[in-house]
Amino acid sequence: MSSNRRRRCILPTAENWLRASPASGLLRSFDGGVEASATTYRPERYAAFAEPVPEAGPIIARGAGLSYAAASFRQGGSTIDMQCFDRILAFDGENGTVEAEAGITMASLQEFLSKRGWYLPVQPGHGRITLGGCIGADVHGKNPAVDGNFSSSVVGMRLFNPDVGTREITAASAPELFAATCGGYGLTGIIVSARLATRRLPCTTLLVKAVPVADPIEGGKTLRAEAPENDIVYSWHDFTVAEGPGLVFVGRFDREAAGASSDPSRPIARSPRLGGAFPIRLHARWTTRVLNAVYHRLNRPAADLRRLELRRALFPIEGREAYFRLFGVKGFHEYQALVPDETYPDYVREVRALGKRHDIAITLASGKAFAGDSRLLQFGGKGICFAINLPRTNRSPAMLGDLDRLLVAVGGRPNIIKDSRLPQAVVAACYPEYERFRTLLRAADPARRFRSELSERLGL
Amino acid sequence: MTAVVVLGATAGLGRALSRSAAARGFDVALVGQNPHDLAAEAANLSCRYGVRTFEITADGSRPAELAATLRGRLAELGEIEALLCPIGLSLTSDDGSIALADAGRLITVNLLSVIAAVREVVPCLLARRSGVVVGFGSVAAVRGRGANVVYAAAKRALESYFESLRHQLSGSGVRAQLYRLGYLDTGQTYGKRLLFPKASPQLIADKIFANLERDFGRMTLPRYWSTLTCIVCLIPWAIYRRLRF
Repeated sequence: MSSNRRRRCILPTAENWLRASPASGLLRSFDGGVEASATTYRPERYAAFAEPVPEAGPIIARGAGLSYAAASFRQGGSTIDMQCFDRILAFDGENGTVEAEAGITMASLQEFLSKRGWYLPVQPGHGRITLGGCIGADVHGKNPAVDGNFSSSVVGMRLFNPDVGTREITAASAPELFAATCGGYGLTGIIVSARLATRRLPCTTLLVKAVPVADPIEGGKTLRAEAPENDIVYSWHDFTVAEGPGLVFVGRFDREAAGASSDPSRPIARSPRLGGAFPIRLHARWTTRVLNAVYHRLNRPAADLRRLELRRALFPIEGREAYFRLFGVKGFHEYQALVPDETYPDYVREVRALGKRHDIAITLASGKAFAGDSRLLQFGGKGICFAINLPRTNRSPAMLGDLDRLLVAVGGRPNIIKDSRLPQAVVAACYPEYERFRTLLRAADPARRFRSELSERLGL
Repeated sequence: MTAVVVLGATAGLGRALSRSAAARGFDVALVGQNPHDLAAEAANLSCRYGVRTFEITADGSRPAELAATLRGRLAELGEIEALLCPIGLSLTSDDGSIALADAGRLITVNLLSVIAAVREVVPCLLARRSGVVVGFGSVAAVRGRGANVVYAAAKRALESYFESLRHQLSGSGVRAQLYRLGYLDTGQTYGKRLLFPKASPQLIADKIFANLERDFGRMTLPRYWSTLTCIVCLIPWAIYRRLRF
């Protein structure tokens, strides 16, 4: 009997093959919609991913655990917490290519890059989100029409599957597996590390202006017009006021600022935590009105351009975590949809009407311009991305059902990672390659070992 | 730049100490069992802090081999400033009935491996008449109980060893410090329901480096554990024997 086989015989449980103790407890989606009891393991050593473990049961990887859609756990399942794999493995100062482990936070990675004069153009809204999560959800950044999604930065990955062990994949060496992993919600394997292409950082401050718009429709036109010439472009709208007036934030690197290559932003250790909701909901119609008025006032258009430090621009949610806590323990819904430019005005009008009809306060609305193609279940394509937040109440499911029907009718697609409720039928209707993704998934993971609440709900 | 040697550098407190050392500009000799883990940690420290790293593959359960490996590599490290020994092993089955081999492993990793490393590194420190040796005990060793039986015995022996070491090194310019550690958020405590909160290993590591120049015998971290351990020691036997923790 070979030594490998002998080892496998004595390593049947996750506890043994991961060399990590289990922690049992409730895990919750970030939007508060799904709660499940799961066993979590936090391996620290590469021995966990050193060799195939055919006996392993169903598992799913977890980074910061900030997915809205319950992508990192399953009722009764095993979750692999990757936060100990948080290291920089290699960096090429000539071309900016960086290799890092999947559990590194984006704030930590960007802090490293900033000090060396590089940056990742596509980053999620909060610095605590991990590299593995960014790849799994193929997140978008602050100007997706120009920068694309996170997968556009991924050069290669090391992917672990208990059936085959760890392998290096690139778009050239394993095109289908690579494509299915970028935006594959962790269902093709455990991303252990990744190599990323980065961009030269012109400076560490951006010059930002706030362009007032009368409503999200005008906002959409402004987003589309400003995107090609700028580094960050996104809009905010106040839906407590009739037409949904708002601001389009347009920013460019302050390229004339002299040779700033170090990021003076706060150290990563103080990156604020998300979560920890207040016991009761404090987002009511009147509080939303007040908060929006204050936000509008604080960000009102000024004669001069505002200077914004890089970290603030990349991670705008940092420092505003209390917004999510105000929804209380029941949580909230985010409905983020990518709508074709042609049908976007009708979509926005109907969203506003649905809010009134269902008597639900839309606490936040925002938009971004997208361009390019979408593959498999990646949230991409050409159109305007429009997101709304609403409190989780007895009335919200009916409104979200209406939004689903509306989205299918206007030819849009929902962001899978932003909604823990999204039904399979809506995803199948909106994503033309839904079936192809299922087929690729079965090729990548014939035993269907990687499973989450998200995959079960979507029939993946 | 002078170097810091860290036993058990690839996980938990050892990893945090390695990062604290590199952040302060020390070259770091990482001693650990698995070459892959050592390479990853070394790459991280080199990339982030630009320090020299030395990967020393050695197993704490084989102190003689550990000593020989260290002996063979010490010359390339240059001047050594500190030997940090956060190496440790505990077993959930350590209730007084564990097999003799497991008891031996607990004593070997928690005590003998440290003694082996100290024997190799301290002569280098004495030659410079400067430096520090840091050991890591546990609040579990304060008073014996029905759990972690052999682990606590080994850690209490380690406290005694460091007391002797400090006495022996007195006046030599080399210091010996021992930390009695409470709960840290490491693999050892992961998933366990504990009575008190777990401290971040990185915060503890930074405190240890802040104390590196100081001359003291023993310190408890996190500090609130000093009060707790005093209380545990003062509980009358008639009550203590009834406690299950």
